Amino acid sequence: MKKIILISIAAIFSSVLSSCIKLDLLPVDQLTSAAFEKDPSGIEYATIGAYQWFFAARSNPTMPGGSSSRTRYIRNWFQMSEFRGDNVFIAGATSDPFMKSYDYRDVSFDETVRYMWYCSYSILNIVNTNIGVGTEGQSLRDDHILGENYFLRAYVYLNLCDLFARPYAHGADNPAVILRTEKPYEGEVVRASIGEIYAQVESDLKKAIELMGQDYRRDNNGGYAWKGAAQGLLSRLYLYMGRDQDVVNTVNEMLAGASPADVLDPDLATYFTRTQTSRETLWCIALLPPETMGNSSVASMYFQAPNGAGWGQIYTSDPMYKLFTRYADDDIRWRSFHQFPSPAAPAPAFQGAPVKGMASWPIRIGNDPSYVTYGYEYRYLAEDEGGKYIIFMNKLDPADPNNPVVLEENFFHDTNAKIYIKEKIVNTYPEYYITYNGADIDVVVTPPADVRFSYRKIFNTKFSWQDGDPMLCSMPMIRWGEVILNRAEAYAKLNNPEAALADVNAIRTRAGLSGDQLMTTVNMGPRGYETILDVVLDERRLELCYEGFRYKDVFRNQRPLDRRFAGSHIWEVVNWDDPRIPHQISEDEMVLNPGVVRNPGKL
Amino acid sequence: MKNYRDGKGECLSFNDRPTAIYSFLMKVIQITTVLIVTLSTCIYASGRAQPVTLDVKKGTLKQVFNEIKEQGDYYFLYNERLIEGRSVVNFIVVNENIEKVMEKLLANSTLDFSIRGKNVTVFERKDTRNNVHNDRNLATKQQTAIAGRVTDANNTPLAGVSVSLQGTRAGTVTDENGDFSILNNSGAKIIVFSMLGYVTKQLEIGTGRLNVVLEEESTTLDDVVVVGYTSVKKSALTSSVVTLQSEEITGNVTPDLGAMLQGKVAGLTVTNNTGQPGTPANIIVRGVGTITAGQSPLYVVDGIPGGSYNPNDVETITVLKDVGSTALYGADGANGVVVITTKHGRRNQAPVFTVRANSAITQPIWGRFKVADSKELYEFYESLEIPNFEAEYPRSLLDRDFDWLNETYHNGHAQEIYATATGGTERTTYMVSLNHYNQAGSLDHTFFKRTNARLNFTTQLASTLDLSVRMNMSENSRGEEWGHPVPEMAYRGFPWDLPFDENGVPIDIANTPVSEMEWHYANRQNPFHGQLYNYDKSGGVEMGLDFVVNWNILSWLTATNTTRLGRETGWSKQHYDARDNSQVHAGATLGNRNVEEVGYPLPSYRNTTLLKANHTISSHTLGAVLGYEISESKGTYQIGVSANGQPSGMDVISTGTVSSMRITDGFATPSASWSAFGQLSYSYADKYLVNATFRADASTRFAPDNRVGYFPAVSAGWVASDEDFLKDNPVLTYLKVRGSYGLTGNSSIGDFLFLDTYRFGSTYLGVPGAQPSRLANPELGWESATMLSSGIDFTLFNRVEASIDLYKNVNKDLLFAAPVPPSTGFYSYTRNLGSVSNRGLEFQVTSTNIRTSDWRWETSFNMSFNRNRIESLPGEDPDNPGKGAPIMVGSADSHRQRMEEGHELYSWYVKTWKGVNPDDGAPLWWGYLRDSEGNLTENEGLTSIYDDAMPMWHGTASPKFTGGFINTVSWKGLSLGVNIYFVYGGILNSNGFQSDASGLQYNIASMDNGLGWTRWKQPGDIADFPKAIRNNPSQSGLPSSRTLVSGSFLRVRNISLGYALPTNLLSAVRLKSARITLTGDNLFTITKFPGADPETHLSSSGINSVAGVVGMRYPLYRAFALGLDISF
Repeated sequence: MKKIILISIAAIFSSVLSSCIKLDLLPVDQLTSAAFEKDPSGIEYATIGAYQWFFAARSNPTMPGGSSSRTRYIRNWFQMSEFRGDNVFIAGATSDPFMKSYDYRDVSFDETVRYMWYCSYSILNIVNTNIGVGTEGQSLRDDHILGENYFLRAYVYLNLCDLFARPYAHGADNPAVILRTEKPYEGEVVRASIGEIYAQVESDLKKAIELMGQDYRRDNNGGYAWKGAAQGLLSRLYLYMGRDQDVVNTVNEMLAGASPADVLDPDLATYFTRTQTSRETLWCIALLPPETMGNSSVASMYFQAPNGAGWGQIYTSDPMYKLFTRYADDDIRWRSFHQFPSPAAPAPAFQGAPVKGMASWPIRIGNDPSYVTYGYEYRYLAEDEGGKYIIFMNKLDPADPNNPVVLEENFFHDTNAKIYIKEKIVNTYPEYYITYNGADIDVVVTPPADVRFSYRKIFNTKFSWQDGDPMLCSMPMIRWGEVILNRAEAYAKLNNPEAALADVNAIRTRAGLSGDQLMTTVNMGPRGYETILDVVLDERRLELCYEGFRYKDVFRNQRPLDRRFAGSHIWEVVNWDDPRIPHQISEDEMVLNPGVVRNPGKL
Repeated sequence: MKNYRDGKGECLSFNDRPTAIYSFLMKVIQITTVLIVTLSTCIYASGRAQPVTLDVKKGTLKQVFNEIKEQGDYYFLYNERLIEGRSVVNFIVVNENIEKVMEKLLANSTLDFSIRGKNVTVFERKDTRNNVHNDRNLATKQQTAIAGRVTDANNTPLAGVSVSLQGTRAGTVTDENGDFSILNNSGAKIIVFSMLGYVTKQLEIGTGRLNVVLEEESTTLDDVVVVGYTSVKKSALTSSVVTLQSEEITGNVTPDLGAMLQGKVAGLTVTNNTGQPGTPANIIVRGVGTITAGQSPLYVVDGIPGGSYNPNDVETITVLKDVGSTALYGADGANGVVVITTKHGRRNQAPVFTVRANSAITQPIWGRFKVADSKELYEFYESLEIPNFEAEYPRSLLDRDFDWLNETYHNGHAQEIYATATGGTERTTYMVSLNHYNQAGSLDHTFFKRTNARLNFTTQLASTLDLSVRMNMSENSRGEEWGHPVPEMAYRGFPWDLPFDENGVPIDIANTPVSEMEWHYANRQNPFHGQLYNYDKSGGVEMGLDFVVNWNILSWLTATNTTRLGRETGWSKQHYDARDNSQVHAGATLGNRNVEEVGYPLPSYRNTTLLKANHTISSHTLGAVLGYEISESKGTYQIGVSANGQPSGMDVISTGTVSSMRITDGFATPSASWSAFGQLSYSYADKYLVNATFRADASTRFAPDNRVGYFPAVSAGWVASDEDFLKDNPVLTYLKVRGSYGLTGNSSIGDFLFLDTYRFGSTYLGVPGAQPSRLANPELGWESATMLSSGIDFTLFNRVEASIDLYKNVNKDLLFAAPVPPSTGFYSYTRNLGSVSNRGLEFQVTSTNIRTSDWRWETSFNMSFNRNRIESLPGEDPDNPGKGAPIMVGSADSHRQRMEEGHELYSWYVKTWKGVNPDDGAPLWWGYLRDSEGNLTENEGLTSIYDDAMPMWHGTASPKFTGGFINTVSWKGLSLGVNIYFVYGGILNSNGFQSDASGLQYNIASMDNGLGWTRWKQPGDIADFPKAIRNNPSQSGLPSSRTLVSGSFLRVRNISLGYALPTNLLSAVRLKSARITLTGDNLFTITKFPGADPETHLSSSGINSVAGVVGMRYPLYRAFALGLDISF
């Protein structure tokens, strides 16, 4: 009996101690999509989350093998687009996968293509969920936020096509990307055609324009999408589709009678430091100073600041440089956005005086026939009454027994001869060459500059100096400059040269050019332009350089891209029908979705 | 200790009878004596000096002695005739100490007792003797001297044997010749010889000189093993466990218990991945069975899962490897269980103080690895056909040769001091300890400091009620590498870049214009400059409080309730000073950055209630455990603060610019769980053992419908050597066969993975945003592991103990963050998918080779073989219908592994390197060939086009076997221990040690590593490295089997030389013992690995991470330590 009592006491005792425990817990610091349907503020939070994914490294959930500095949408977007063109070259090789975009050797498992695919669909997942859950007509603000989601969907799809599909102009039936407009699902999916994607983009943009109303602009900040952003993107879409009259109509509607000068930012030199507040901006990815991307920024590859920030390993190409230097003294786009960094110490001097310049010319590197690249030979220049001439011994003091100079066979041996820089006029603009052993060698003459593996450096600071930070810029994703040039190109194709040149000159005027520097139907011929479209495309190149348009502008107009300039890429002309033009689709997708076919790619 | 199983030695009596055990058993049945033993509870967990609980209705005194002996490891010394016929009736004691029990037991008899250590001597009470045996007393009253010599079986004299006269307090010890002499002035009849490690011997005092031979005692089968919630005698185990004592694990220069276990336990793979002080080793028990869920074993401290401890306070550590013992931990047992028991005092123990101090010097281990020096690098660059080479790289560079590697990582040091006091009174025991560990790493500003205090206190509240309180508090701080330029520059810095000026002051290269100073390295960064100001520190305080109530309800029934309260706070602080800009290359915020993060855990507790019963009826012993456990955590409150723009030299947040100030805070997720479990064990005659366990666990980690998991297991053992056909076998002195089968689980995943949560924390234009973390999985449930294990334990010649185990574990319904197409917006989400098996063989042998009074030589050897196999994967392989879809692991642009059914986890799947074409120095791979038009064909062969090469299998990072070999030799006070650890058969990626310098921005690894590496220079060269080409378009540096190398190695993990000062010397200064040790850790390694060291983690965290990569890491270290250990 005693035992039974004791056991009972023990049982009661222990059951009291171990009283029941509540297991139906919910996270206290997170939302679930189920909650959005009850509370539209959830959609607003998620929309902010979508914007953030354009610049922030996606830390959760991560991409396998992604590095936090590379897994950023805008960094990849601007690099993958721009480096495929002919505006810049890379000095030396890098293991960074943007190198693959640059030399058209991207493969499906490159971090760049994998991340852009993944991040794009992550943003699409958010906006698809928001569009699916949201209800129209609740309030002006809620409708606007919903409209932003439609805009973001259109933007992401258009960019996906730019990266992973052939231009629309090459055929609307070509495969583009996976079209998803609902919550994610698993199961067999295939690539939609570019025509189908563009149709979705057009309908989304129209819906966005409808929902975002007339004048309401969130917080007056270019970082949020608004009606103008959607209209501007529509003009880009129509231009890419070849619907030129629709381009003109859309841009005219946007301008509503105003002139380009009324919408362009009057101070181009500082525009990129204040994209969030400038009227030029239709939409930008807004970054606050603490969010600077530092050495992961778009600027970082173009510029090494005096404080050490940035890598500064990608420079303006010779053809781009020649185009800029036609009006170098006046063109804001050259003088405000470029600089020659000083050569390494000791400062190069010749016979006690600073050198007078530097001449560079491409020379072939190595002898691998499958991969012909051109580096630079460079020489500093001295000057006498006969003009500038080459100094044979760069930097080195021949008298120094510790630095005996050994020149290679193909170098200039006759140090007594003076090889002068000669000038010739091409298309009314001066160009330079030297004559050696009876042959003329074209050279580029620059101020003395620092070099990297013999490549002369030109830093570009277009995307620097927001809030005084050399690595910070709220990258413009669509701006008036482009929209005006969209119309110019449409006019050119609609055979309206005056209107086209008017738009071109609006852009040139804003860039600081005037008088004879503007383009006319009369002076374009002597300047080497055969068609108005040629003029417009060069203006797009100058105005939108480093913003990722160049290779698209060339290829969608079915023109060849001449990449025969010094750099680490293959010395070649890429034809518009080259199979390498679209990037490879992420291997991660193809492995799990065999219906997603591979792009043909290199070889 | 004595093996009582042979039927002879249930007591140590000098008038023994072989049939005693049988008559004893018969009597037990006849008089229905009930002897209930409560197995030791978690309070008295060591199996030593345990309190005694008896409930005897009627029995003989001898039976009671036997019972006490079994409960408490005591030896009884008595004259058989003296206690013959004495019986005990209705004798009940509960949890009494031995003195009390003996007092009560002999209260009304003519007997008295004395306790000396573990020896309980029972003798006739003096007054009784005087009265009853007056005449004999008179006869023996005169003093006689007894003298003699004690030797071992080999006739070697034994020194230090204690010699006592039974029934008296007289005693002495033998000298170094084994000689003794003792005066018998009390008429004692019996002389007793005892020494640790030998069978105690008693002799009737006769005349003449005594020549005594002591037999070695070599079995440890009576040791009590703590298996977590319960303790069992080793002999009664039905599962595979390994127990190590305190002295077997300490001795390495490390603050980490894991590192101490390396090479000591079969089936345990312990790896260190870094020399960063304070980084714990990785422990895997019997192979990796899961893919993305946690792989570490469950730690059980003082009987309850979880908890904090200091390795110095560990008295025993038990590794539970199979389901026979891990099943009681159900959902968390699948990765094995490590049971840690901390030290405690003993009742009636005089205070013992121990102080241990160590001081060590550490040295980075570079193995074969070197970086190119100035000359090697220059010659390499010269071969690259760089235009204007001499202009860019003047020969004067050869005058500069800065050794970045060895200037960055140099010698470090470590000190440790540990002090304890243990003791007990009649009703209480205590153990207090204080420990301070301080290690400075080989990299400047890296360190680990820990101060730990513990109090273990037990008191008897009432005769049936004990209370224990255990407190542990530890405070630690750690200095980390402050960002990536440090290791990067050490391994890749140019010998031509001189980081110090002529005065030895680091150059601020980041702020020096290019026009003023050239810097060849890719980035203008000088970590030596940053080290002047920058730091990255972290630390925390960990507190644990256990409150244990133990109620001996009945003699056969005990209830224990344990409440554990834990608190853990952490902080970290990074400071990048305004005076150093190097960090901008690490992607850090320009200027300075200052971050502090602190977590405050809100109340969390765990409560465990146990009911334990144990009942023996004749040869039948029935045991039962019933338990209920709950745990609850409200989550953690996190605060993070950061600000930029501090003035130079200021590292306080508040001195930063207001606009950059950021404060984040929030809650971590709450969690809760309950578990109910029970265990039944039955043994017949200690020969046939069976055990059944069942556990149910519920956790908030899983979706409501799949929240509860059920985990049953059975195990059995047969002590074959107790059977007639093996009994008294001179060779095979002990043999047990055992086996177990059951189910355990794994719940090591994050919280709420079944919900599609949106996470806050992202902002855009300062506005808070939310981003989805995952896809929902309303089905998410337990991962389970079916474990089948069998083993034999045997002893040869009473001298060599061995265990051999075979096992097969199959983990299924893996908590697998399995891939989904990224077009869903995600890479993976956690589902119950796939299955992985591990089968293996392991053995452990311990042999006492020599054991004399002066000499002692013990050898222990263990080896484990494990084969892992992916049994099933989700999806369908398009190439192999019916098979799961293979999964590529790791970054797509790096060396990858592949999960495929039928293959091991961590199997490399990369392009096959075939060397260098002697004609042109081009790289060769195995791949598809092209026809004359350049179109790919189906034909395979050697190709120099990387893209045409095909990926193939290239072995696995998991070793074929690992093992350890431990030798301990001692001679008198001198001892020498050698501990060897070896790993065989894993393939590692030494990527980063074999560069082709595709970009001219970094230094390269030296080819001069003793492996005869060569680079192609001219046609006809048979070389390991292809022709060096600037910008390397040949892509020879891209992932291929070229950098996969064997990770096999054999390492002298530890050598320790100790000297114990002679006791006679010490007694003069009132010391009990003093010992000086000289130890060396990681003294040398035999390996062909080209990198610094092949030891690396052999596990990965899932589809993102590849196991077996050794890159530019903080080097492991070699250590030399001098230690002093005194007690008084």
